[in-house]
Amino acid sequence: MKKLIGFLCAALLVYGVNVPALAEGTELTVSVPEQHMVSIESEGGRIIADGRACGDTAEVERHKEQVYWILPDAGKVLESLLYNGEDVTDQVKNGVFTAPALVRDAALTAVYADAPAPPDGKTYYISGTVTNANGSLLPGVTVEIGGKTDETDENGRFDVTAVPLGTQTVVITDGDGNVIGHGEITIGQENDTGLMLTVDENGTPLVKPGPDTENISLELVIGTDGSIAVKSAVDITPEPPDPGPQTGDDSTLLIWSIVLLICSGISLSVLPAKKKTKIE
Amino acid sequence: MKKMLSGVLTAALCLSMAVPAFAQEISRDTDPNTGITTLTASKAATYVVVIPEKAEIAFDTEVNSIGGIEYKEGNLEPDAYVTVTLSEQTPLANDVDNSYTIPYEIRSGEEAFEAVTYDESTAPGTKTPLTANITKEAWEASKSGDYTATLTFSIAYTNPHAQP
Repeated sequence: MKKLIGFLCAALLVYGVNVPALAEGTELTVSVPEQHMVSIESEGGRIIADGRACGDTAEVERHKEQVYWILPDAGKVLESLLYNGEDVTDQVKNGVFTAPALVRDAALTAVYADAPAPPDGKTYYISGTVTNANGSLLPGVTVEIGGKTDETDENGRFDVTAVPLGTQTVVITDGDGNVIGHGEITIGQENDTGLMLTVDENGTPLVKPGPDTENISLELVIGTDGSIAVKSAVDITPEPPDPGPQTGDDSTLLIWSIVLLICSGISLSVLPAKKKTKIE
Repeated sequence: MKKMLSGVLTAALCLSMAVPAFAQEISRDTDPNTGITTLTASKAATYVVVIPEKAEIAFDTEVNSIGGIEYKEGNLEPDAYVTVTLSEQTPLANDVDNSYTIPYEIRSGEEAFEAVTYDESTAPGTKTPLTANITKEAWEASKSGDYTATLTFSIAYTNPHAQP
């Protein structure tokens, strides 16, 4: 039996058989990136992502829905916003654009136009406080309204001057320059019955000053998502001092007339009593 | 016994190398006084097929060239042929978490690649280009990280006239 096996092996060597030769495997590799680049164009304004101003590019984590704050410069308004060439202007709400989950490099372009001039050139003195979502006052942060800036004091108070009518960008930055709050506020046309706080059709806080309003106090609250809400708006325009009655001022005529009648009546009642006493 | 087996195998090797030439003796008395010499010769079939060793797929590209199969040279028997088959294709899996995969297809031109055959009419240097195709949707769904897959090609030589 062993001899037979030996002869068979020899025959195998001599004549060979058709046998398949398995080849080495081919290795395929690919690397999917963790971040993607977004090229930014924003001449005439700033674009903020994660609290930081974007330069020419922004690195965004893959599959992240990145939130961008669109901040026009003073005197400018956003005219259009393009994302990968697509017009997404109508997706911008209160200056905020949320891009879809990023799966490849992208491009974001903001185009700004000159803001319309206020109708009568009237401006307002705006002061107030800044608090966070927990209600804590925020000292040492910079408040920018319509291009006018001020740093809050130890009580979280700020004041800016000469804020015109129209929609103004509100930006709050911390001491390191990080944008911690962003929003818009519209100073609207006067309200005959006095200062009123409401919202416009875009959900933007709308302050309608009264006819004599010059100073407005706002209570600004920064939400957990960085959006700024106006909790209250108060007309703090000081009352003018009372100048007293003026020549040609007949506003107190009725009062003086009543006083004169009373005095006349007293005088007439006293005189007959005195005459009666003398005769007696 | 082992020595005997070794001896047999050695003899077999020798026999396979040397072609015996048998002589025929012809003399005056040989009838007929002619002889016939039969000449025989044999040469084993050869072929060289080259497959790609490695290929890197570019991110976010739907059609990626991974090289191809090359029939570099061959000396085949009549009617014989060489078949190269994609016998195994592992998932393109994340190196850290192999549950994350990117679906792909190996194609030759527009068709999914299964096998290619080269015969005696195939010119040396003939190439069969291959691509790894990944859809746009698959790229968008893919998680970040490094991925690896292995393709296994089987190469078989077939001579339909070979003695069983």
